[in-house]
Amino acid sequence: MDSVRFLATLFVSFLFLHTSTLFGQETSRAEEFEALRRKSATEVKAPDRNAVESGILWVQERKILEKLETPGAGYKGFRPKLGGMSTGSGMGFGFQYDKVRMLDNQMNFSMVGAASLKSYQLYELKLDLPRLANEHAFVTTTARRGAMPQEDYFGLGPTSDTANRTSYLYEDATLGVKGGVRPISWLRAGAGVDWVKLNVGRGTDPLFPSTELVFNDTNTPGLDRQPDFMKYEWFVAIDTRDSVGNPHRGGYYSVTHSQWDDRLFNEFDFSRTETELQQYVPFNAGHRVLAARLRASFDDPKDGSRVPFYLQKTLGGSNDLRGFREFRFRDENQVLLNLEYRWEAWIGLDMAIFGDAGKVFNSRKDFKIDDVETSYGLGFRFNTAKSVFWRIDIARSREGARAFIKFEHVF
Amino acid sequence: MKNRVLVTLCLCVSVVFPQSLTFGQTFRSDDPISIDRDSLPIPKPPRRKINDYYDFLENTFMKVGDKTGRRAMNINTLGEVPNSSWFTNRIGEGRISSAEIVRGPNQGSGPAPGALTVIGGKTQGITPGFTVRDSSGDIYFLKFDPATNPEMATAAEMISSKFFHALGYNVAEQYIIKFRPADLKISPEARVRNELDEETPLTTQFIQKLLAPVAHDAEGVVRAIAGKLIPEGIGPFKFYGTRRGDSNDIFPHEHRRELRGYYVFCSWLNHDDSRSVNTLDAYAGEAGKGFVKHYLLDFGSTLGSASLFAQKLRPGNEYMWEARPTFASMLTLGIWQRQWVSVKYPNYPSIGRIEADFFRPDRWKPEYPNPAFHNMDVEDAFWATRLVMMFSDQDIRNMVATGMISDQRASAYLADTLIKRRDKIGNYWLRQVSSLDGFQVSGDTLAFEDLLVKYKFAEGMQAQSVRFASFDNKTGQRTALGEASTIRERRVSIPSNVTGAAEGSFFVATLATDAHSVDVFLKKEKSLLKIVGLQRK
Repeated sequence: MDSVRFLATLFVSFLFLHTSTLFGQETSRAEEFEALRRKSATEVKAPDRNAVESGILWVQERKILEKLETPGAGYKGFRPKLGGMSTGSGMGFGFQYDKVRMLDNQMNFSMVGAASLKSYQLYELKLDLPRLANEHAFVTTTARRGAMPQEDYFGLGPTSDTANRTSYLYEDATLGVKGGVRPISWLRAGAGVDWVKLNVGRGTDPLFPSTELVFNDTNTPGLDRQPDFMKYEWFVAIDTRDSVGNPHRGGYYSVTHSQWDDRLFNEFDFSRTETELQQYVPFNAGHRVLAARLRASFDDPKDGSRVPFYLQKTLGGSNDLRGFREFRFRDENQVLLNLEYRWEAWIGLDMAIFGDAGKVFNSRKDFKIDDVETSYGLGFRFNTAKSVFWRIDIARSREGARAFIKFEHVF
Repeated sequence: MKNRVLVTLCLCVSVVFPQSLTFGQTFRSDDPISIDRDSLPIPKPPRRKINDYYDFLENTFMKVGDKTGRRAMNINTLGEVPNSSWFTNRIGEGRISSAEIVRGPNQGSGPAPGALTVIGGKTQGITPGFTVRDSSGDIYFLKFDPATNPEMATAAEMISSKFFHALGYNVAEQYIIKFRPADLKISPEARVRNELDEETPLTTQFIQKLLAPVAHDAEGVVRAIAGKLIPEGIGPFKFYGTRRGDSNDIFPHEHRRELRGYYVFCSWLNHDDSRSVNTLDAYAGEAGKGFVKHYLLDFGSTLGSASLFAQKLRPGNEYMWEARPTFASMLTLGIWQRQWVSVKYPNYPSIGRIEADFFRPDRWKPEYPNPAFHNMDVEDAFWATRLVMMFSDQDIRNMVATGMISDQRASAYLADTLIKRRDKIGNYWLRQVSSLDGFQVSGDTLAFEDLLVKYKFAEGMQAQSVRFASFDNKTGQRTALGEASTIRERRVSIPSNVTGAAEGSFFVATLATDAHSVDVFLKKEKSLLKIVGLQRK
């Protein structure tokens, strides 16, 4: 019946449309267009937007993403916190509360509580005064409590073995204050003091033994007992990068010196000097960049003291020696060199060929350039002009291949 | 049974119906029309928004609009775009003076004397700015130059808006103004949404913060482009389909010649941001009796400007997403290099980056695919190119002067670059179809001009084979009148059986080279021959 109606309508339309022509009265162009417009007024046109566009617009107009990212936004200052816990913690989830721009735009407050699938926990309170003296000075106070029950430990030194992989619990409570000045936009200098309470215990990784079952306090300083520390530090940093989150030119050069003061046993006093040099050299109109980072850290234990293993600097993982597992190498000193050749594959994706070389060592006389650990690989960095928001690095070393998916740049 | 009889009857009548009658006549009594009256009264359509991310995704990865390669639908039988709510022939009609070209859309002299009162702010989007009310109550939106490129964005906005207006588009009035930030007043009702999406009073601090990265001169004076508010805006139009609620909008936008040919203008002026979000439909006329008028907006990303910085290297040369160069770069570890990366630009901060040597009129690209541009055929391009070529060197220099660029060398470079790009456009697109144009009947002569010769892209006209035929306006059938002849001059004698034909007769003269041809349709009307149609192949 529908087809009959359709054909009949078609026929009648035909007749009406061309009656004028049949009888010698042609329709003018203007009349034809007007008729089409009058007909159009009776038709129902498709909606201007489909469901997908409406959905995206809804999210954009309500600034949902901005509210998730911006401190102080969200629901009455509360925002969900996804990830952001330490490396190897597994999927983390929590809440963050921010109150910003208090005291005439001078002070920000934040509070974080988060936990991960591997029972890692993080609680943090922070009070920031980032814009003092017309943005030339800053002060930050932090109170933090963390628990990391599955931290990897392979033993100390460059010859540690993957067969000795263990896990341990690392808990810390920190109260600290840090302040500094920013006399010019690219220079920062300051100092800080922290009270740090630490505890090391049985690791909970079901796949690997707990550290104390494989190692002892002699070969793993600090395994038996952990003191409280007062940590004093000063730092100077020069930052000429064009973009902190996705630099293409300029450099970052910093020196930090810290003093760790064992408040209980006088057994673990040491100082640490860390240097980081980054340089970015653009070429081909900035579509390619050579990026280099040299990082060195040297610990100096006080006479008779040792540096506890859980505070020693590590190499391995997504941010340094990428062909090796996280925390793979650990010792009192380390040197790391990263070289990257980055090129723009398209505006939202930079790729990189990278090489890493690094080594940990106990005493500076042990360092030899010919036995550094190396890894190399290929990286994909999805980015905006200001940041890398998604990084996939695939790296290879003598211990195999590793792939990382991260939500931040490597350097 | 009754139904079957009816169906059979319908089919029989349809089949035996003479084709000539079912499809009507090629030329109507009022052809060629010069006005498309698309301003029939309609209720105000609802306001709509376009999400720019979705617009990118849709146009880049989805199939939008009709891409069947059909001829533009809104043209008259001469291939011209009739005046409408979209387009008004200005330079194309040849009756616009140089002074009018330079004045552009501006009806007055800009914001009235006296303090400007800030009534709203915009922190989001590519170009932050704020809305002001002048002492006479008119509302303007102010946009600024980046500190790194004084005069660049405001000049680009000013110059391009005048070009697009002269070409025929509806654009907002634009004025370059200068003011001291301290002289601005703030309306007590002015509100702005901060980064936390809270509506807060618009304060002096907000204005100071917004103006901090903006170019100031040595005396602290800020230069701005003041765009006059287009009232009753109902949101942008898309470059495909028609707008719901606008029954005057009967031609799919991807088949409108002025939107297809817009590609040529955008390539000339390097308007890479020629996308839906930079358009506006506005309801014009009395409530309930008005119609929708279509505007182009926001020319900050034209010429060498990218609004907040000098134009980057990619825009104009490659879409934001293109698989081929992306994978080529990925697979060759960056060794393969895009040619446009090594293009050199002179250092003129007030111009940004624009050049004419690497520019290829057929390879220029906007930020992402545009269905109207995709459908542009050589006839559309010819139509647009003819308009581009109508701007004389002096017109272009006069237009560039409206940008009030202090550096005279930069200003001269910009004008020279536009002249060179214009010529490249002409030299390319005029060769893609028959370049004969300007047909006129004078007595028993059909005269015309060769645009390639007129604009000095060729020294002489190519030999043309000419053939006359009678044309049956009902069936479209052609019957040759005599043999073809070859001409080398820009006129051809019309056979006596054409000049002496009966009233209402139609003829077609076909002028052809090996590569291209043009059909010129003639109608005997009031004892004279009138050109009623043109079609290039």
